[in-house]
Amino acid sequence: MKIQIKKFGEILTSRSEGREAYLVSRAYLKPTQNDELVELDFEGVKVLTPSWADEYITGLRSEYGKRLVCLPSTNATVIASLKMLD
Amino acid sequence: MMQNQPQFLECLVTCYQWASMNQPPTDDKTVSPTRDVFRARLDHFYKQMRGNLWSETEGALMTAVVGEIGNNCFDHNLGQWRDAPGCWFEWGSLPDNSLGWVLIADRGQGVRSSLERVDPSIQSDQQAIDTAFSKILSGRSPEKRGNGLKFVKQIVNGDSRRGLLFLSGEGRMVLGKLGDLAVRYSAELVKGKKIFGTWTLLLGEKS
Repeated sequence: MKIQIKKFGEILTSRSEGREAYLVSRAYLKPTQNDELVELDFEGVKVLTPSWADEYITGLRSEYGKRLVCLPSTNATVIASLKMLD
Repeated sequence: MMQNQPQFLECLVTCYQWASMNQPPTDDKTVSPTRDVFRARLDHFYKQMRGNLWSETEGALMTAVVGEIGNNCFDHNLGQWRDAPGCWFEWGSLPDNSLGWVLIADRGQGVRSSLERVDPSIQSDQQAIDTAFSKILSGRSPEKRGNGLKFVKQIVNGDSRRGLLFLSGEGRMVLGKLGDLAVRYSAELVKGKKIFGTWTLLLGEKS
């Protein structure tokens, strides 16, 4: 299953928005099989901060563990923010 | 060049006064009283500065930095404002369009007051600021937070065309190659007037 992050917005900065996006994803964007990968696609996102990413990704990681995968991105803010979470 | 630009030095003085006065004047034009207003202005900032001064990548990175600092104003001060709620958020470029500037400030509790609750060893404004920019520690413990200002430091230090001066109480953090320029612009303001919450000047050369 692939989640298009841009559907939450192109400029993603605050923890409160990241938290809300996580809660929506947990409720409505569920993989159909227990072993299915959950891929996060950042294509189209213009600005991402570690605060938004922390709320969203850490939340989903607690649900899906290693099945959660961030797809490669060329956006500098996505690269820098994801690096902060490692 | 952007039209109808606010004058940088005038804005610098007004913002500093707002953040350091005992009774601040109301300023609806530059103060975002809620996060929603700040968020809308951040979108406008990104579109305006990316198109007129900074490249796509530079505009995105600077917007991420501003987003982290501006959202901190709300994250750490809801219910803690000294008086005026919200954050000052103003930006522009120098008349020759060589340099973009951003001012962000709040009249909240300040970094020391926020962090000393979770780390009683913090004894000064400077120690609090040093901790905020270098350690994973947040005043909102037990929530696991505290990487925002590390990100700001990494981005501003990551390119010689950027600089930042961050003030809170009597402490400060200077980042990036243009950090000294930010200090020089602010030198006269800082004398004898301390910031109640936080005050930031971010600079970025045209790219």
